[in-house]
Amino acid sequence: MHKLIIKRLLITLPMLLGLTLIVFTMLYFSPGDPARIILGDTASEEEVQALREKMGLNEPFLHQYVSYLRGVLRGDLGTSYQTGLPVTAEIRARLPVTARLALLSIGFAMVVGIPLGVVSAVKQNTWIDNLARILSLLGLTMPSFWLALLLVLFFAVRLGWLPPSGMYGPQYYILPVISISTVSIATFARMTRSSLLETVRHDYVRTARAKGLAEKVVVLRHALRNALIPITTVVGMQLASVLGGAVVNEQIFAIPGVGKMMLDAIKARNYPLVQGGVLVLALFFSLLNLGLDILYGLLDPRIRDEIENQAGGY
Amino acid sequence: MTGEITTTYIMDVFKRMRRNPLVVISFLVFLLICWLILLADYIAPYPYDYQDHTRVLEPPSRQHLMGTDHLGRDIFSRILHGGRVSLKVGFVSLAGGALGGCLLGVVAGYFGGWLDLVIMRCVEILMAIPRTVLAISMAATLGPGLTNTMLAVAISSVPAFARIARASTLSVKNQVYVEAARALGATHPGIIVRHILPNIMAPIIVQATLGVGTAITLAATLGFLGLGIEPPTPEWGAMLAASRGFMRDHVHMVLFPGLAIMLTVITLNLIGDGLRDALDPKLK
Repeated sequence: MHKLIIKRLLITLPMLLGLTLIVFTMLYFSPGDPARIILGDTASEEEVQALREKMGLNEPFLHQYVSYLRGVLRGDLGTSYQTGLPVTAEIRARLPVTARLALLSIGFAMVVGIPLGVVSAVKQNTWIDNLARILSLLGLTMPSFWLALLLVLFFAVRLGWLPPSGMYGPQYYILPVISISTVSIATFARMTRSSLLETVRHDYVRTARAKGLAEKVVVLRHALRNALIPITTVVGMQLASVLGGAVVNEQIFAIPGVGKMMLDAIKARNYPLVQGGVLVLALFFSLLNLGLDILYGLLDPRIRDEIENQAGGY
Repeated sequence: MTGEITTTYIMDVFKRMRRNPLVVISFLVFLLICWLILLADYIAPYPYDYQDHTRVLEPPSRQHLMGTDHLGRDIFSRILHGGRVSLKVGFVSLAGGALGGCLLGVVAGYFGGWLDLVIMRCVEILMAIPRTVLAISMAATLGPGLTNTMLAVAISSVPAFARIARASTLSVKNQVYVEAARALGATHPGIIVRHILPNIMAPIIVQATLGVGTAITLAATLGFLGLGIEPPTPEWGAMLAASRGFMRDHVHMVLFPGLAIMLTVITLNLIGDGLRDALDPKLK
């Protein structure tokens, strides 16, 4: 187990280093001269040059990257061009909203998607199964932002049951969470269905039936437990999906999170805020994945082996 | 999920796919969509930028099958023309991403060692950024426009292909026929092109079919966020963004572009699923 944790950490740390390089490169190649963006069109060429010198923008690429990396290690992601506030402060104010939105969505997706898949598998090839599969297909292919618009139109504008935008209380989470989690619900339902159908072919399930256990016990205690193993590996991937969904949906529902901050910053050409957001979201995602892998390793020795082999396989 | 691509094999796959009516229907619907979109110049009743200011925000009628938008433009015509952008972005960016990803994955898997280590670590770094976020930040760095949207979507699809290609390469590179080719003095590029690639195509084709749908959705998302193709070129995502201010009283504006995306992506998904089942009958 220690081996797993150490190996996973050994992979994660250089990965985060590489991440800073990618994020810095994107920042470096962002359109426009940062000094010009900060000073505006009215500033003279001398003023712009002076600020460039002061910001170190005339240094070579690697030099700039090293000072960026030093800043990141100190917890300094630069300053916002607009407000002059540190990027970390801007993000710290908004990350909790995004994190809550993403975690609520992944939780909701599992709570709805997995039982849907179980029902689908148990009632294989009945109308219930077909309905669940059609719904999954729709959920999988419907663009999240379009679903968000339809939800707003129906539940907020037409029926007036839920608020269309903003973030002032629990009810404001309902529509965004549904919209973000739909793709993941569909994915969990599909995975659970196929995994469960695969599992019930095994001998231990036949044994459980043969010894006269109730069907419910057979499915829930024997089959589902083992069917859930491949699903656990999907959770990590779905985390990426809900984080991406959160970014887009924050914009639609006017939720003051990291995603809306990034998208607003792109419009204002405030690139430190954009790349700071990318870095923090990727960091959040990587650390959650690290935690998940370790948790699975604790829960199931087979997954532990798999992760260890994966880590040593390269 | 490997098998050499031969004529009989392809015939077999087609035969198995034909047995699934859903796949056949999806394929026909997709062909119809492509046909409508490619011939948009002849089929669309109006030019996509033709504005009739006397007929603004009209609901669907016989003159305007899907109604008109806030500038009096025919939505049906705009959807047909907009489909060009979506299909182009979907196919071109996916082809680029698949090519790049497969190259990286095959090289990493075939040669192994430090090359494998470096390539796969880079791929993992890209995977640490959620795909939508990666595409958004790439689009922000590159700026809007068709080429840049394709590039952003292509780069964000590289990791998936690299991983699949690498895993498949690992599973075939120690096969006897590869060993035999090597014993006969075949070069590395020769072995890769003649023996590795044909044997790892199946999973890559499936990923590609499913990936086109994802690429189309992602491109529409970028367009919706104002990071994609710039007006006046019609694009499904951008059309939906424009509908936001009017959807309260004019549902048709938000309904049809979304349906267009969904129908296209559904058919591609069903074809992809059918292809997977047909390529790997054991899984069924």
